[in-house]
Parts: sequence; structure tokens; C-alpha cells
Amino acid sequence: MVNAVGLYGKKLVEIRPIFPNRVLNLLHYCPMSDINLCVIKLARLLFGEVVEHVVSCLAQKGGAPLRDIIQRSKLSKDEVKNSLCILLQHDLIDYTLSNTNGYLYRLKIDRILLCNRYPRYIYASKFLFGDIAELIVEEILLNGQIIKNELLDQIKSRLADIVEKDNTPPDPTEVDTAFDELARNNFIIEVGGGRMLVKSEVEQVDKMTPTTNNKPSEEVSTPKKGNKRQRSEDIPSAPVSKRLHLEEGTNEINYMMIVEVIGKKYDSIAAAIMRSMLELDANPQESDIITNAVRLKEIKSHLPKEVNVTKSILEEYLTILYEDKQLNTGDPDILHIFSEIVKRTLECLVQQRFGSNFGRIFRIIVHKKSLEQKKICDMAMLPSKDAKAILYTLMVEKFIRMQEIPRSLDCVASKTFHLFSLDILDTCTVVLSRSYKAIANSIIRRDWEVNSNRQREMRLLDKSERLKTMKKSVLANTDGNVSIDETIRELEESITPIESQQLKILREKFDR
Amino acid sequence: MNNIDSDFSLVDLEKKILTLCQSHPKGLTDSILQDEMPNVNVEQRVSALNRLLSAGNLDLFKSDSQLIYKLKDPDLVSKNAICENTQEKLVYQVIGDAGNKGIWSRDIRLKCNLQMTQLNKILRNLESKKLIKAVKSVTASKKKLYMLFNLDPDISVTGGAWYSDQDFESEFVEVLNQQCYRCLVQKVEESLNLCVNQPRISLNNSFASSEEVWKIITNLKISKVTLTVTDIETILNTLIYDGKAEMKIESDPDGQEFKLYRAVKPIIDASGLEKTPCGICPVIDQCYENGAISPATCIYMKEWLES
Ligand code: SF4
Repeated sequence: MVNAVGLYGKKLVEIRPIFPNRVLNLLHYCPMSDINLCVIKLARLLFGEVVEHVVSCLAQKGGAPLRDIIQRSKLSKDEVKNSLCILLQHDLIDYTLSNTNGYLYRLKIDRILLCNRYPRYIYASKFLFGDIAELIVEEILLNGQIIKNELLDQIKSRLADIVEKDNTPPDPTEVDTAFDELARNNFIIEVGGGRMLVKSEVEQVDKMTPTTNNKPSEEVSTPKKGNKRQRSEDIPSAPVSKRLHLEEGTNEINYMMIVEVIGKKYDSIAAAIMRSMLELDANPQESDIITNAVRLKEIKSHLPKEVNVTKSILEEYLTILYEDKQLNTGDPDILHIFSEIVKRTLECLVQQRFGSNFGRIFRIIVHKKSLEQKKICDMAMLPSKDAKAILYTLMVEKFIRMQEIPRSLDCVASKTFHLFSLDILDTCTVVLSRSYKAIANSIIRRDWEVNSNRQREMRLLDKSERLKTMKKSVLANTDGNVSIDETIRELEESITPIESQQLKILREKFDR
Repeated sequence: MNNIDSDFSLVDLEKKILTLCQSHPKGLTDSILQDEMPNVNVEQRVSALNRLLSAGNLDLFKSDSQLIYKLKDPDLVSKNAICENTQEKLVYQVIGDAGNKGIWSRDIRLKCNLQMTQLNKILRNLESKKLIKAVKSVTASKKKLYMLFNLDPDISVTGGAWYSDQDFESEFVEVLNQQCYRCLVQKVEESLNLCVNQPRISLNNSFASSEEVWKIITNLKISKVTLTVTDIETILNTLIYDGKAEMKIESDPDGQEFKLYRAVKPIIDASGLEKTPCGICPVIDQCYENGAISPATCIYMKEWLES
């Protein structure tokens, strides 16, 4: 049994972490319009309108030199340069030397889309390393890259602010420990240069002529796992700054997803075992290679204290996980677990969007891959009219596809097989592009809400000012008229109670 | 009394002649009859034979100057007795060949080469004589299938337990689906309570075989029709496709496979996308910033933000 468990252990922990580029390959299949829209709106959300214009120019052209960006965006040179600096600092663009146009700036589309996951990176760091780690990760994400001492100082001062309110004494060493912990687990990596470097990069690139052979390193803003970034000779040496290692963060998010799924399917003990195995598996130096098997003993000692299981129970759990053919937890390739999770997510999406009958029919096609219409109707145990309507709606929404196979030469409809099938990649692409459009739409709406709110506020302030002056003039022109009180009351009543409440809040805001 | 006796013996005699005919497929001659029934006088024999001939039960043939009595084909008996003409006989034959799967009137027309009006008349005639019947198929409710009156329609025509009068009993299926799920959930709860700290045993015990579920459902007596284990498996499969159950196949020591089912909870609660209005929006493809449909003016967004 122990041997067998050893085998299960090996099977379970031979895990290849998923990297963003492996997952985001789907991007090649998504319509560019949706992706670009999302990228542009994300830039607006994170860095404001000026950067949005620059990103929009880059997105339209694929890549553009500084000159073109200035021309197309109708922004000043300084504004464009600053925007590029910000984008470089956040590792959202790179540049290459072209023969004709000088240096071409290009968006790192997949990297920008990862900005959507910032809240999840922050949550992962909080879950794994605690509240201070959360603050550190938040600060790094806010700055793109930051010099260690600067970062620690900022965190300490933020902590002091929080502590002032709570009246508990600050412990500055905790910040260093949290930082070291994050670094040890490969969450934070070094990038040479810092902001100085970024500024000099843009300036140097700008100055260089296309004939210069001093090509800046293409890796300039791409962190290499665990290694220091290469620097080109002509860039002045600058203090080493820190950046979040998003690959590691993505792995963590993925691992958390597996653990959550196991917890839901079995129980918290199974989830804790899976968590331990994944943690033991993680190789901080080179996470992309297959790791060795872990011993039963190691798993047992690595389990959190509150999970108190005997060796035999642990063995039983491992056997359960190994034998799970539904989730593929016994499969050495972790991608198989993920493909299961992806399928379940799509099923859940269809069910929640269209209803349980749609979910049933979609699952039949997911299970059987490709099936004839009549067979699907029979298996679904639904009235055939309903089942057909569901199939065609799913087809129109591009969740499944249909193939017509005529049985006679004249292709009569009554003698034609309608074969419905599913290509997970296609369906994922449809869902992904809808997600990107939904994100972009939400950002657009958010901006609109903010703007209209601001306008409303301005109108309200105007109104109240106007009323004030009117009141004053009425009082100034008073000549013993008795109706004056009534006029003033009328003027006061023209501001509704809700408006006066809003005014109060606004005034408080201005006072601050 | 004498009369009754003679009547009784006559009926007996007829029966005896018919059984003799069955044992002599080549036919009975007078001499055989005489040998087999020495006690019966000629008069009685002739009157019995005459009655059988007039009722159409026997056929009379002549061979080598002697008469031969043969049993008539029972189908032909009824057909000849009731079908009026050859066309009716032909239609009857074609419908009979189709068995309990039935045949569509268009196909009968093609096979018999008849006009539709003519065929309809014949079909009406045959139906009124209770020789054939029309049944509706579950696969095509407007299509009438014809089959011999005494046949029970095939399962492909009636749709089995899930159909009554060609209507799919979706409510019945739904009730069974829920009951089966309850059985499975109960099984999981029982196993969790029984096998504490024995995860594997508890997991294995939480599976219920289709037969077990079938027994419980049969005992509940919720179904008027008799359900088979396969019927219950069909329902249990719908639970798998609802994402509420999983199945594994195991074999007993004799190598016979059986299906085991277990209730499961969904592992993904919600994907997030469908919680936003754009995730379920029917007009997302026509929605653009500053367009006729635009996120800024979208009513779905408004409702969502206000809810
Ligand atoms: S913003 Fe409104 S109209 Fe546009 S896609 Fe979203 S829900 Fe649909």
C-alpha cells in the first residue's frame, strides 16, 4: 500500500505549472477588436485618459514609433513620453529597432490583460502570506516596479497610519519578514534599473538613430524567472528595483483554484492534502520543470496543524484523489485537471445564463463530444420541440456547432443528419472575447457614471450658489414687505431634501 | 335433452375435425375421417363438414376423384371473410408486413400503387371492420401509422414509459429525476454518518447502484406504468447531465458490469461573467461606445447598478 501510495504521490505531484503564455494562447483566436477595446479601457482605468490615447494609437497600429504616436494622438511630446515611461515602468510595452522607422513601441497585450487579475494576485498574497504581504503586493502593483527601500518605507508609513487608528504598536520587522517571505517564494523578483532606468530608456531610445547598433535589450522589461535582468551597456546603472512575478502569482491563483475545487468535491481535509502536495511540488527556482515525487511522510508533516489525520487516512485520501477519473487528479499532467475545470466552468456558465435545461443539453454534448440531434433529444429526456429549440439557441450563441450530413443526394432536410459538436477552444474563445467586451463596457459605464455624477454635483453647487445670491438680493431689497418670508421659504423649498443631503456631503468633501 | 346432446356432440365433432386437419397438413379425405371417427355416422359427419365449410374454416379440394378437406390459413380466413376486394386484401397484407412498427399511409400508397382517395376509403373500411388501427408516432405527431388491430405498437412508436398518448410526460420525468436525486443524496448522507474517519469506505458507500434506486422508486409507487432498471438508468443519466451526479462502472466477480451513481455538488459556483449584464446581453454585438446601443446609456446596466 505504501508503495502504491508512493506511486500515487508521484503521479499527483508531477505537476507542470501553467504559465500565462500557455493559457493566454487563446488570445490568438479572439477577435482583436474586443481585446483592443479591453486593453485601451484598462489603460484608462489604471492610468487615465492620456495614457489611454497612447495605448489606443499603439493598439490600432500594432507598433508605432514615437513620432507617429505624437502625430496620431495629438498629444504633446512630453505627454507621450511620460505615458510611455509609465507603460514601460509597468512592463506593459516593449520596443524593437526597425529598419525604417527607428524604434517601434509595441503593446504587450497579454501582459496588459493580466491587469484584470491584480485583485486576485493581491488576494493570493494575503491568503498565503498575510495582511502585510498584501500591502506590499498592492504597493508594487501600484508602482509597477519599485526600489526595495522605498517600498519598505512606504509600507511602514502606511502601517503606522493604520496603527494610529487602531492604537496597536507597529512592528517594522514584520514588514521585512513579509517581504523576505514573498521574495523567497518567488513572488517578487528583481529588475535592474528602477524608475531611473525607465526614464533613461525612453530618452535614449528617442535619441538613437535607426543606424545605431546599440540595440537596447529586448528583454528590458521582461523579468526572467529568478535571474537578474540583462542590461544594455549604454543604460546607466541604477538601483535594483522589485516587480511582482506574475507567473508565480498566476500559478498560485491556479493552485488555489484546484484546492478550492477539491474542497468542494470532497472535504477540507482532501483540499489541505492537495494544497500541501502542490506546495511541496513548487520549485521556487525553476517552476517550469517537472518536479520529483513527494513522500507520504513529507506530505504528512507539511499538512497544517489543524488537519490531524493518521497515516492510513492520509493514504485513503491519496487513493481517492488518485482514482478520481472525473477531475483527473490522478493524471500527472496538471493541464488535464484544468481542462476539466474549464469544462465545468463553461457548463456552469451555460446553465446560469440560459437555465437548467440548456445546462443539461450542453453537458450531453460536452460528455459525448459529437452527437446526432435525435440522440441528444432522447438523452436529455425533454420534449423534443424544447430540446431542438435549445440546441439551435446554443448554436446561434456559438457555444456548439452543427454539421449537416445529408443521407440522400438531393440533401432533403428530412433525410439529413444534424450532428452537434463542441470545440472547447472555440467556445472558450467566444466566452473570453465576451468577457473582454464586458470588462471594457463596465469601464466605459463607470467613467460615464463618474462624469455624470460630477456634472450633477456641479449643477447642484451652481443651483445652491444661485439661490444664495437670490436670497441675498431679496433680503437687500426688503422694504417692509410681508411676503418676503414666503419668497424665501419658496426659494428654500426649491432644494429637495435629497439635494440638500447631497450638498452637505459635497461641502464636507470640499472642506476636507 | 336429446337436442342439446346432439348439438354438443356436433360442436365436439367440428373441433375434432379441425384438430385432425391440423395433424394432416396435406388434407383429409373421407376415408381418413371414417377411420378416425368410426362411431360417427355419415349424416353427422356431412353436417359437421358443411358447417365448417360454410363458416370458412375448411377449404374443399378435389384430387383424383376424391374430396380433400384442408384447414384454411387463419389470416386468410378473416381476410377472405371480411375483405371485400383484392385491393383491400393487398392493403391489409402490406400493413400486416409492417408488423408492430406500423406503416405510414404514403408508404402504403407507394407499395400498393393506389390513389390517395381510394386508399383512404380502404383504410377507413378496414378500420371500421377493426382489422387495422391507426396510431400516432411519438417521433412525428402528425404522421399516422397503420398496423394490424391486434398488435401492440413498438416502443419506438409509443416512446415507452415516458409517453402517454404521444405526449412526452415531462412532468413525470421531472418528478422521477428529483426522486432519484433524493435517493442519491440520502445515500451520501447515510454513508457520511456511518463511516466517520474512513474517507474511502465512505466514498464507496455513497455510490448507489441503478438497481437500488430502481427498487426505492418502485416502492414509492409514484409511477402508474411499470418502470425497468434501464428506465431508471435513463433518468439517472439525466442527473449526470444536470451536473448533480457522477457515475462509475464496476464489475462483480462474475465479470458482469453494473453502474453506480453518486450525488455530487457543483465544483464551480458561478463563473462571474453571467453576473454582469453584458455577460448575458443579447445585443452585445451591436453595443459600442457612442453607438445607438451604448454602455453609457444601457438600461440593463442601469437596472443592474440600481439593484
Ligand atoms: S452595455 Fe448594455 S447593451 Fe451593451 S453589452 Fe452590456 S448589457 Fe448589453
